[in-house]
Amino acid sequence: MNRESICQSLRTAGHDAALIDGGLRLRVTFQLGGRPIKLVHDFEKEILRVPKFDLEGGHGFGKLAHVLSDGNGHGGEVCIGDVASTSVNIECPERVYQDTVEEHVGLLRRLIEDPKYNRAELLREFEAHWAILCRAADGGPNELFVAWDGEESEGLQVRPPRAEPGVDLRNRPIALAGSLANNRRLDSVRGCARWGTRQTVGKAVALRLKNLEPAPDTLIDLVPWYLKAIDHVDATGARDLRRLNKKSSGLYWLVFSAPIPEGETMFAIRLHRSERGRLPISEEETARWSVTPYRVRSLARRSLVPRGGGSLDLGKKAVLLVGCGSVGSELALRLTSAGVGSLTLSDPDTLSEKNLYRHTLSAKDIGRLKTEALAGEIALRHPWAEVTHWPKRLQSLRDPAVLRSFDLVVIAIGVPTVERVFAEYCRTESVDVPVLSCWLEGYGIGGHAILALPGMKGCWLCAYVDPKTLGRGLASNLNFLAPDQVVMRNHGGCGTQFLPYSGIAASYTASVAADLAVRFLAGEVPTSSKVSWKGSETEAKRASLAVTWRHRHFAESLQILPLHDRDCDICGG
Amino acid sequence: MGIQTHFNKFRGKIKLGREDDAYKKARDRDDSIKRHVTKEFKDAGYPIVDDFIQGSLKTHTGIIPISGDYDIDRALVVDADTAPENPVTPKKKALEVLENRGFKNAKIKKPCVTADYAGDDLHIDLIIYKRSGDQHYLAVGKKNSDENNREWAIADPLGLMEWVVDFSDCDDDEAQDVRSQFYRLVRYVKRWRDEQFSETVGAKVFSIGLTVMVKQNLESSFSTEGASQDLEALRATVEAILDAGYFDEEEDGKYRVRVDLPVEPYRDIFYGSSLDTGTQLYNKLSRLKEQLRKAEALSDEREQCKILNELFGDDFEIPDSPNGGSKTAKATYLTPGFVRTSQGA
Repeated sequence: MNRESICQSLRTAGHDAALIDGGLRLRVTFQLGGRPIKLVHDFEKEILRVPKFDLEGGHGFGKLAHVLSDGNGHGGEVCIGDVASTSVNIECPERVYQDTVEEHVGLLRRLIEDPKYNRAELLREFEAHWAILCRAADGGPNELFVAWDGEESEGLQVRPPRAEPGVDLRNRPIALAGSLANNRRLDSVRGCARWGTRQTVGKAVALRLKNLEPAPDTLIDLVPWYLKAIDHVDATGARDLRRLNKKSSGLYWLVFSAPIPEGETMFAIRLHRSERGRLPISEEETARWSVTPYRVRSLARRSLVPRGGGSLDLGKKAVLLVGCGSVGSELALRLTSAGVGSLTLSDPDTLSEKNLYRHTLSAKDIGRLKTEALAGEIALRHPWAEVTHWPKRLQSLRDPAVLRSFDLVVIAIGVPTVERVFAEYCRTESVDVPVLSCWLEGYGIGGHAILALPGMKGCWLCAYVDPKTLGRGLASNLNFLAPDQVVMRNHGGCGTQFLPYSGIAASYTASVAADLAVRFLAGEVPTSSKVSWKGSETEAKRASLAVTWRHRHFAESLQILPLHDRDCDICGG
Repeated sequence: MGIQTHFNKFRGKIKLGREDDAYKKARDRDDSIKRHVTKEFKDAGYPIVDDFIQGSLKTHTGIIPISGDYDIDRALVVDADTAPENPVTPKKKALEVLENRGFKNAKIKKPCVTADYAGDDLHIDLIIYKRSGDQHYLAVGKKNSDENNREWAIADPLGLMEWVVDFSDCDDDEAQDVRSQFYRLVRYVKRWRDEQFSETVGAKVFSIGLTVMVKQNLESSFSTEGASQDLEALRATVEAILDAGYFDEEEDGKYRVRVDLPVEPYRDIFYGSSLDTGTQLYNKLSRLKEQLRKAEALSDEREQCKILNELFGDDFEIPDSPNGGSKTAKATYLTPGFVRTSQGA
């Protein structure tokens, strides 16, 4: 990398650029409002990202957004966006620096010339500025786990950290809002955090702020900032503050939530002193308190679910999943990861060592009911999902009242005969519950899901119209392997046959089925539908198995297609 | 149900195979005549060394005739070494047999000996060949043709039939489905011919001509699942036929049709046919295309069937209700008691 050349190219482009400190650094100066603004870059050995520039302090324009202030005259590293996803033209460093400088100058010019924009951006990145403040404070990571939805002020219980390095939920303090203290959806979180072994210490309250000021620049500014902030708590919060101001403790935790442009933020303040006293809410009262900023690591549903790609709207949806084998178990995890709030698992089967390589459960669960073990697994991964488990087969679930209590019944058993019986039951008894059936085929050739909505064209039998006879068939017309072939493998005689497929195939199948289910629950799929993924026929050919016409011609993998078949004797044309 | 079910029903009503009951009388008569001719030829010194059914019954494209007259195309082969030099000689011998067995209107046409058997609604064509090695020669000539108008003409009847049923350029797994659709399309077109043309003109729109056109322009159509889509296939095939260059506009709006045999002697099947035949065929094919397009665009099965009924006649039935009308009738499994599937979870 030729630093002279880079500097020269910037000058040629009209910038006031100079190499400083023996050529180790680059300084670019530009004028704004008659004042010089200086950007400084420390050259690195090679270009692995967009070059970083620091804004020199003392510029006189106050706190600026996107400048990760070092507390020194509002200078600091300028952030022009996510660097990880940026692809840099390393073969043309001069161009990289030109464009980077242009971007920095443009951003700073806008922030300085448009104070409203600067303020909105400061609020939007409140969490980042608060984190800088927390890092500047002494005494550890200054992080607090909080389970509170942040919508209204309420009481909190805060329990201190345990000395367990490497397990954040235990070695950080953790706070549960009063409304969630006994919520069983948080059982797994409480278990992981060893909540029961930690004693509540100090007094705490969760406060909802109606509006927010940009984060303080330095720790020195924190107390006045805090005193100003509590003027904006909602009515409940104000009452709680007054109440705490009459109590006595040596430790107070205040957890705040507030609106910011395009979202919400949370942060916390810890007030501590050696002797007990009332919660300080005025300048005089704070004098003898140690006030420490804490970053909030939220465990709230409304932050965890969308941050993980789930939908809050699915929180009220109830799904019955029948079959917790390789496909079903994966599907259960996909459904709850999408935000489905209530999932009932039904399967009488227990986990065997033979299941391990293609099942989501692990060796520790061998011998346990798959449903029970899976419910535990989901609770750990997706704590806001409420999971119930029944040891029942599909044929035992033919109860209209039970079935109608669900928004969707998902069948992942891969047994077409039982599914046929169930479909016939739902039809003849007019059980108007949406049913999604899914299955995979052996040898990695593919998998399918069909969604049959009551009262609409497109039923389970539509997926079984025989393409040749146009009458009812016994193998699904979605299948990629031709029917009536010996597809099972048999290593140990009768009773030990199994369909050869991989965990990958199970996972793909679960994913297409979950996608269809979630889209339906979200209202995006208003009609009976089907979806397939098509794999390679290599393994099937090796086993001398014939594929279907559909496999040879299917080019719509993952696309949601209409289920209705005009030759279905139930749905008709 | 979908429109394919109606095509399947239609096909079931018009399909004629040599083993079908409807053909039994004709088949028995054919067997009897063959035995008789065999004896006569043997006695005459040119024994029959081979015989075969020629035409649609051999190529799975036979249809039940609207007129009720069943056609038999019976090829009789004598050895080139024993065959008389005059190709009309064995034709006269065959004519005698037919006349002696009560056939009416028996006569020698240029390529065959033909006769009607009124009592059995039977029309028979005896086609006589001599064979040298693998090469066949057709006995060409009328009863009184002089030597300039009669000959043993090179022909390849077996090659033609093989060509019709040959789908070796298709994917092995799909050839049978494509071939079956082709057979059905030929049957549909032949029935359309019988319905749309007068008897006189229809007789000149030769089945083999239609068969060759359909085969050379076949646009098979199946759903992704492999279900046949005969309506789409027929429409696309007719479109392709009209664009294939078979029709030459000799005068304004008047067409000459030319379709060459795909095997030796590669002659024009419609050689000598009139402008009127070509024009009618072109115009009626054009209308068939338009009507099929119209049917394809409809979603109401009953309306589709009305159009198809008008094209193919009453064997293409019109259901009572808009969507097929027989919902309860088809709730049957057309498969065995159980089938092994590849399904699991």
